[in-house]
Amino acid sequence: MTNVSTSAFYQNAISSMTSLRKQTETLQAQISTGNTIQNSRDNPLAAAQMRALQSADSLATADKANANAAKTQLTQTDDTLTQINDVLSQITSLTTQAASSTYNDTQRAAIGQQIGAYYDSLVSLANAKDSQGNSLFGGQGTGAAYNVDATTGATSYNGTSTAATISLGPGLSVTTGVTGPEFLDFQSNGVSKNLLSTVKTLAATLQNPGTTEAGIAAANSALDDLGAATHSVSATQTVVGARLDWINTTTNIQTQTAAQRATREADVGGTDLAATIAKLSQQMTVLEAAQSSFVKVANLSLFSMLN
Amino acid sequence: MSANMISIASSGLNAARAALEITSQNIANAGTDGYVRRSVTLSEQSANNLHSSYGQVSQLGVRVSGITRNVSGFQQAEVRRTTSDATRADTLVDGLTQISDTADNSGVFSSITNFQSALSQLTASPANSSLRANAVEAARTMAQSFNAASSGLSSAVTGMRTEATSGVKDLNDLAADLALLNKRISGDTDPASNSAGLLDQRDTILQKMSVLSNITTTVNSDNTVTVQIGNSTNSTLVDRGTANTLSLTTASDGNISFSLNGGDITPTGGSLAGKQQAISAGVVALSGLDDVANAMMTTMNNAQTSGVDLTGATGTAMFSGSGASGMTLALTSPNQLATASAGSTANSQNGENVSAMINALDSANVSGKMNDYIFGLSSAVSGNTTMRDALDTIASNAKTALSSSSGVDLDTEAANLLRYQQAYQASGKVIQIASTLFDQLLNL
Repeated sequence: MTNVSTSAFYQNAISSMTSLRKQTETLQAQISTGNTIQNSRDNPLAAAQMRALQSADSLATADKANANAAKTQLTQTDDTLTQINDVLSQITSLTTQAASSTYNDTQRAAIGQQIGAYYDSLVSLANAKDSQGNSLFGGQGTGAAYNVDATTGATSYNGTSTAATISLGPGLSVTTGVTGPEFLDFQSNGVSKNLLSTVKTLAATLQNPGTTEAGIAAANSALDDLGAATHSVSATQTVVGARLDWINTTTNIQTQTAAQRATREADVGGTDLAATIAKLSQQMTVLEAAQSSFVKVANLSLFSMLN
Repeated sequence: MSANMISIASSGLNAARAALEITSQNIANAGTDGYVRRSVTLSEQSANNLHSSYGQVSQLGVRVSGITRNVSGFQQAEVRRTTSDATRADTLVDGLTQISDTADNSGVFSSITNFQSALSQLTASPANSSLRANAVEAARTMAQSFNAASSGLSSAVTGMRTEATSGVKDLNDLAADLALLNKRISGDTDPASNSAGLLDQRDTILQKMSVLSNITTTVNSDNTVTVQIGNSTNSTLVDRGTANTLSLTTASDGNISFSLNGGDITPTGGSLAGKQQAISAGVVALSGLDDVANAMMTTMNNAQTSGVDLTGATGTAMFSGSGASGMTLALTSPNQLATASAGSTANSQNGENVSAMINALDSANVSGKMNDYIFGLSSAVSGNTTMRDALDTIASNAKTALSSSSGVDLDTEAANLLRYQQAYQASGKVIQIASTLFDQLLNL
């Protein structure tokens, strides 16, 4: 018969109860934190996946902010283009009146003055600022998009040839604006013209036509130019609308991938509460049984019978 | 005849008393570490040829022929061997855990992600001063995280080295103690003396040594013991009354090595071996962190110089220094961030160089490198933990087997107490009867 020493009995009981206790504590930590991984070393592969997923989450936050910024920028561009269109239609209707021979030179000069006032609004709309205080139509340049000559009132483009591009995530980007020349410069009857200078010239000519016929002719030829310009502004608005659509599409993609990531994170590192709680109560039952049987067996001593 | 009976009974009394004393000793030491259960060996005392005339019985009673230590040398050696293995694995896992947790909790990985995120936000408005400041501060936090991780790893390695040094001192002290004990054991020739206690001490010292290093022991005929570290030649630590000194050397890269009797020695078990392996892992982890930090600095510094800053000047290096511990943010103002592509004017809204930075970080895969780095460290822990658990189970089985056979069982001792008490009472009764017999003769 092998001898069983008292100290070996106590050591065995203590080590088995300690290991049970450790297991219940691990389960408890998993339940209270909601994560199965407390340290990378618990499950290195899952922890590495979790790190990659969380890093993607954090970068996606920046992408989302960028998408919002681009959306703000493009919406403002769209609004400004609508206003330019409104001004343009006012100028067109005035020019139509000026082209009519029923108006005399004085009335035509008055129309010219009105158009001159609209010219100023066009210039200030072309120089509109975005929410960051940069020129909306100046591309990546600094300062105003159009410089206005102090004496003549003539304008010249000051910005860069391309608008800024913003990143919306890996491989996705959007151009967040349009430059002035993209919609203010247009082709009319095969000739390149600029809306601002066209309107400025029209206003000046109507106020000081020389002859009545010259005034009517100027108004008539300006009508063709204004039609082409309106077309150019509308076309640009369509482009801006398409870009806004593109941002909505990418935002949807981002939302979907974020949801997929969240599901993946829950799969890889999340605690299955039902299973873990069931496991915990099973462990606790075993631990309680071990403790109470230990107390009973430890009380069995021959010495307590000697008397 | 009566005189004979009395002397037989008194030898029985002596034997029972000796057995009761041994039992008491066992009970008193039921919880003592390293105590081996003793038992009394009794043998009959008889003299066949003495006064051998017919009808006369020449029985002289009983004598205590020795005190037995109930221990198996094989089991003890097994416990020492498995303890060395388990301690090595345990120490290594402790060290690796410390290294892995330091790298894990330093926040280097998340600071890299935050930096990338800040750069990504900067593309929205490259000249915006608060977004620029955000990116520069993210870079500073990242550099500081690298510094913190590196110093955490260094101090972990230094701590392990200090522990290894004190382990070497402990081993040398134990060797000196054992040499002294060997002298006492070889000088102890009186069988009646408490040699069992000396042997218990000897075995306890050997057990303590096996925690520090794997040892090979040879028990000589006089019960002294010769100890070698490992089992290579020229590795004798204790030879009877002589103890040699193990010494520790730290290399310039931080690794440690041991030497004994003028030769290099590499223990394969015990905490010293575990520390040596963990320190080596720590040194590798430090250089791995330096690699990631250098990759980050090279990528960002190159990207900076290919763009222009807010004043239109060519960008300067973002980081200075080398390695994770030396990584320092060199930019002194958010304006120095080279966001615009080369040739852009001052205050340009151009953000092409920020996009280039993001792409360069992506293709250099710095964040992926850091993820792999942490993965490498943590999987080393989990791999070694599996092995440690297996070795722990083996060691604790060996310990239980030894302590089951050599430890004290209080129930057995209680039974022995009763048995020897009854033997003592019986011998007393014999004396009483012998005396009655003697009186009867006198009264005839």
